[in-house]
Amino acid sequence: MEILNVENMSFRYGGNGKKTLYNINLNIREGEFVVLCGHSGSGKTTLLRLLKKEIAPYGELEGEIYCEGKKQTELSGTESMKFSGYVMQNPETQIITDTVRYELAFALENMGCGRDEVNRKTAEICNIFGISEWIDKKTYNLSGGQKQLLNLASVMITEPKVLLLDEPGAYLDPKSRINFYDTVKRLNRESGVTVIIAEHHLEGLLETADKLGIMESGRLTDFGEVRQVLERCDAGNVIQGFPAFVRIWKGLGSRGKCPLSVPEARSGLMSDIKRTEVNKEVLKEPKRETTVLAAEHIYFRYEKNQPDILTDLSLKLNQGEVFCLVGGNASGKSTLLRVLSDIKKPYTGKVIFKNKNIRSYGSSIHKQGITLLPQNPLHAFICDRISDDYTQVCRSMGYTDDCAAELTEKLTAETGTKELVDKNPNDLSGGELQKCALCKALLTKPKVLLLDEPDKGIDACAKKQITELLRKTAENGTAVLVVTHDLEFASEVADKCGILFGGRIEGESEVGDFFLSGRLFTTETVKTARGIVSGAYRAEQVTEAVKKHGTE
Amino acid sequence: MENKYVNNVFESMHPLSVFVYFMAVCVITMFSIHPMIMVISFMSGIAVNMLQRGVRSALITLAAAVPLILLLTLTNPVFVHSGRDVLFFLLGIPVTLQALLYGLNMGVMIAAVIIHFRNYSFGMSMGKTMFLIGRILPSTALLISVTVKNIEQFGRRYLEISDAQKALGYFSEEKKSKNLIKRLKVFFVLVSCALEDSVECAVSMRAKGYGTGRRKSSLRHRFTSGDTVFVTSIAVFAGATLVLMGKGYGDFDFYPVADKILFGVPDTVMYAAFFMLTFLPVVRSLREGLRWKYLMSKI
Repeated sequence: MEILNVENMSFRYGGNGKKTLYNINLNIREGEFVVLCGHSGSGKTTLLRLLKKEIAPYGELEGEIYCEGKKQTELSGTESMKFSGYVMQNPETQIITDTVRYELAFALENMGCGRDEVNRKTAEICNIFGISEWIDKKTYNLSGGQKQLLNLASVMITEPKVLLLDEPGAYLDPKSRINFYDTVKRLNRESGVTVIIAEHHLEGLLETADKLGIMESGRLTDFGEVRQVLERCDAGNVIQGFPAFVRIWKGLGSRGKCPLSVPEARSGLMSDIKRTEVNKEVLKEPKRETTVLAAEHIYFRYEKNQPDILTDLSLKLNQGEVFCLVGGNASGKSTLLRVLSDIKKPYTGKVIFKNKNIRSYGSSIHKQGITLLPQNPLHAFICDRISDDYTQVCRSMGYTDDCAAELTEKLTAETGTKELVDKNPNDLSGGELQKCALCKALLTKPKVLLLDEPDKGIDACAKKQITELLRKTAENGTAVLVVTHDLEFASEVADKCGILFGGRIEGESEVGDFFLSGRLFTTETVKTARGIVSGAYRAEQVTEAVKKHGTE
Repeated sequence: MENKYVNNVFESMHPLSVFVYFMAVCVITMFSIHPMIMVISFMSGIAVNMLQRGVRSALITLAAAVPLILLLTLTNPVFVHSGRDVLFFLLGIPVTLQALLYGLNMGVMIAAVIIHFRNYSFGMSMGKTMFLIGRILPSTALLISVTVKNIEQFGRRYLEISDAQKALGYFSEEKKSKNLIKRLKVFFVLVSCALEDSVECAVSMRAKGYGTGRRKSSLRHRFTSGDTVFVTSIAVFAGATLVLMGKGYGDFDFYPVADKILFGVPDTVMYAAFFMLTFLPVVRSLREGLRWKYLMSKI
């Protein structure tokens, strides 16, 4: 039975010249698990929001949307409410109330449910999601992953027929994301709710999905069974967002069936590849060993009666090197960045910058060469226009007008942000904002650049651009420290890697050794090609090595 | 555990009972003038405080009340010069005994009311207050809930933005005054972030059906027989007190000469009725404690 039909739908936001969606045709059957992928700006969010009447954006809509055979415009308020539920990207902004209990009851209250019904439904949903223990907690005390689960629960409590999810994993760390997807999959399998999920991170979704849709610039360029769509797809920038094993399969000529998971890839694709290894000369050369910033035996805690967050931590950042620090939630990564940039002071140990203790620089440290980019790039901007922020930074650095203009020209060209300078930071997408923030940081001509999760909430294309920019910055002599959850991103951008655990840095090593020494905590490429193409931890390395040495 | 109370006697009661109790006590205290009423009110406030927060807290409250009472006692003669017995002259102002006594009376009253308000906030958790409001004004209840969440978020956000700007060299000015202006700019960034977030929150609310129909509050509390007894007792004792006050036993003059505190039958009955009213939570707590011990001894 078809639950959702979209016929020839086009949409244009009011006042805009261009259409956001062109001729979308979509047929979704009840109980299907549909994945939509595409870059930011491709129209995924607009499409999802149009599927739910209450949150449809204002503009000119052409074509029809049918919900269970009925036209969407003919649905009553209650019918529309009970038909679909919508979960958004940002776990924090979606939450409405201050306690978990109230949050869960919210949707039901809007439907006019009585006290007993609300209590019963709350008890049921808590048992399904396993969140009974949090029922009396405050929503602002939950972690990111917990918040997103709460958002899902507060939508599912009304038992909708269709679940619309707009990049729910974008702001979550890998573990919470997997947990979230598992819950969604379970809901789909056990209760038959139709799932339509728009996502960048396709790992873990491809094997359970029934259908895959690819969106590019407002058009649905392909839609159908997952394997077939992957096989047909040849658009370069979309492929970047696919998991490593898919990219390897495509890079090796797309022979046979497209793998949808690591085991499939190993048994199918990799089995007929001759054992080979990555050309060592191609690997990155070791960098010069001039240490610019060093932390020596740092101990730090926020309050006297709380446990240490950083315990005997030592770290060396070298000129021209990108160091990637990975670690779980609340491991102290952001705290470490704050200590390194002198925003917080350790109670024991010292931070040495250019052979002097960091404290001797006083408050001008940030002009002298250490710059930290915050987790939320929006916080990096003070003014209403990006260009004003650039001007402000140049002024506070004391550049002459000519110098400032020249530098701004050069950097906006390099970071690809020239067209964005007249916009308001709030109007930019995640990736664009990150590039502008990076540009602003580079205007301070930093010797040390610290970044807090620069890959959060941005798509694969933007991630690639950021990676290139960071590597270029390092080549120009800056020492770069990147804190991230994403192992794939780390493998692309780093020269050295380390894990922050127990307040210290463990396993500090060259990027290749770091990823090749583990079985579980490593990139998809290593998991796919282990033992077959040794020395490879990035997808491109596999394809290059195999092309060079041929196959069996 | 968020609850660090020794014995929250109001925990098991229906929010309405708690509300009615504090209303009755505060209203009678505020509209009376009789010193005995003030003293009883004050003592009961300390007693309930001790019940909820322990002896140490009660002593601290008492110690905090003393300066307040003293302040009001001593400032009244400055403004009011009536009264027959002049004790001394302070900078040309006559300080009369009666003015001091009146000040003392008012001081005790205000201290008592403040203590009662404080006890109310301990006794009525957010959930219970929301329940009461939610039944009558569900939209207001929602508004309060959203505001509480936002306040918490704003605080954190401000520090995040502040730190982020600091790390980009924004606050490294030499002059402190320029830094102040910059902090204001950070505040504006906070406001614009908050506005943007609120748009997303609104989408979330609409997606959950807000505005499509009527809202009903769904929070739950049961009105037990214990509550009925409690509220009836309040009604009886408050009623008795008010009736006797109405008959004039609650009147008290301070000027030109202070009245004597009478202990005739109707007066004593009035004092006793008010005493019972204000000490009801203590009585209830003692009774529960005894019952608990009794039940435990049977195991």
